[in-house]
Amino acid sequence: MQNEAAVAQGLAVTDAYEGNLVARAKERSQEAWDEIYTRHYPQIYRYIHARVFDATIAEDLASSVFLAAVKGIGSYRYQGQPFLAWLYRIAHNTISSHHRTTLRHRVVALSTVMELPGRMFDQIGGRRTEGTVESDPAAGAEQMDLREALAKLPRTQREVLTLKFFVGMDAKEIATVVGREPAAVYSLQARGLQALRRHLR
Amino acid sequence: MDNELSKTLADCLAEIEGGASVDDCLKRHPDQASELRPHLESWSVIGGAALVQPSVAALNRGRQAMRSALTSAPSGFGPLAAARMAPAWAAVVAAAVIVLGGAAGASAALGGPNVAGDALDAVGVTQGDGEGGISHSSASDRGLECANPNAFEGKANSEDKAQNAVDAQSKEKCSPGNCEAETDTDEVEEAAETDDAKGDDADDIDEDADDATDDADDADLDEEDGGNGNANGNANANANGNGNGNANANGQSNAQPCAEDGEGDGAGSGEAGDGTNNASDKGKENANENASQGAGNAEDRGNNQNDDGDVDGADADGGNGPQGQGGGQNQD
Repeated sequence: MQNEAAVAQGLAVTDAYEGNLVARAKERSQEAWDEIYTRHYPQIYRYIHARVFDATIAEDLASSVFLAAVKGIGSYRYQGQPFLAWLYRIAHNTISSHHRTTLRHRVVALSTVMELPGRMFDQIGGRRTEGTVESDPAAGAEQMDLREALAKLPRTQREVLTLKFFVGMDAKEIATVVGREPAAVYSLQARGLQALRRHLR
Repeated sequence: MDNELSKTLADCLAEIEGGASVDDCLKRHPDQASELRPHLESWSVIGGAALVQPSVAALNRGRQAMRSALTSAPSGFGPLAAARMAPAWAAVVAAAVIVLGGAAGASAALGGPNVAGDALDAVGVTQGDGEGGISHSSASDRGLECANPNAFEGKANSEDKAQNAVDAQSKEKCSPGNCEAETDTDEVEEAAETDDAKGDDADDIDEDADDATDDADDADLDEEDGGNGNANGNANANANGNGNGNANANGQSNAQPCAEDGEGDGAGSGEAGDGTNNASDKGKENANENASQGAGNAEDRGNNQNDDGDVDGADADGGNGPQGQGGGQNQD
């Protein structure tokens, strides 16, 4: 009980701080925006990178997310939800727009699909190859397999796995972003992992 | 799917995140160890991969761009500024958006220039080349985009059941061809959304079923909110079954993310005129609040960017954006 109370108190303090930060951001405080940017840029960047698979594009889109946030902050109302959740929504929309505009002439180099070790794909798909993505041509195809397998997942499962593996969030953080309980996040991750393995077989 | 295994696996994932090892978990569940092991090993391997890091140069460039935007963007357009706008002005601007939206939609649908995009660009609604970012969103896209984040927010669904039923009926009026959304199906994200719009895709039903199951799981997992969780799960399942996943998603919270995005709602009126899909109907039929937002934003665009999208204030103009879409569709 004491633990829960301490956690609740901590959350309240966090909420108050973030509420204040948002209020200052609405007043166009550069310091506030710098703090927001420093805090959240890496996560937003990773999230976007996991969806567009290109570092340069991810950088541009991540930057545009914050530009959009600056523009739209006037309409944002802080209601206790983490500010990061709002940024993710903007990022999500930004990625969708990007995909629409680039779809017709998109060419994805297999070798740059993901910056992950090849053995990961062996593990997931139950395959046996050696080497890394860079050194093993076959790994490129496996990367694509993983990407395709991820893409086949229901959206919520894909989101929680992306946030876990590519953004580095724990279940509690993911829960605040996707608006679910941490236990539900674990459940989604478990289902997603099972589905991922199925698709890779 | 083996629900028992899923639940055990979820427990193990929680334990591992709490510091337990894979073996700890397997020892705790010896009867399922053989099934759990490959999953947990995969989990550990993926989770152990290094995270991608942004370059310092990019970080600094982005920060600089943000600071520039801070100093250049107008700052006096908050809710109070919106309130100061006379209703007459709002009506004039909204009417202009309708006209431009319809005309531009027709133009765009016929392969001509996207007049609305250009016009709205001129008033600062669009960005850059007029294609990127939120500016490119059609009203249909707005509906979908707005739906996405809210899809997470299942709690709104149960309160939205009545509207869901209405939405479901509305959607049934869509013929499959008519409901065809933009063909970004290559992108699964888009495909999922498109399928939602069509409401006739078996995979989507599966996905919806999964989501409904997940919602049900939420209920199972959160005893305190058990009632809500069940209600949410049911609401999702019903609505999704009718191809109205977005209707659910558009329940209560759309106002915020749509307003947050700021741009594009007005542009959406014109783009929907492309008549490329009836997903615009999603935005129209399902996203009542979005419609209000659309008008609110359209109204904003002529005069400010920071209207907080007060639904009450925008109600009178609520249908304007979507009406603009309708005009465009008729041209198609």
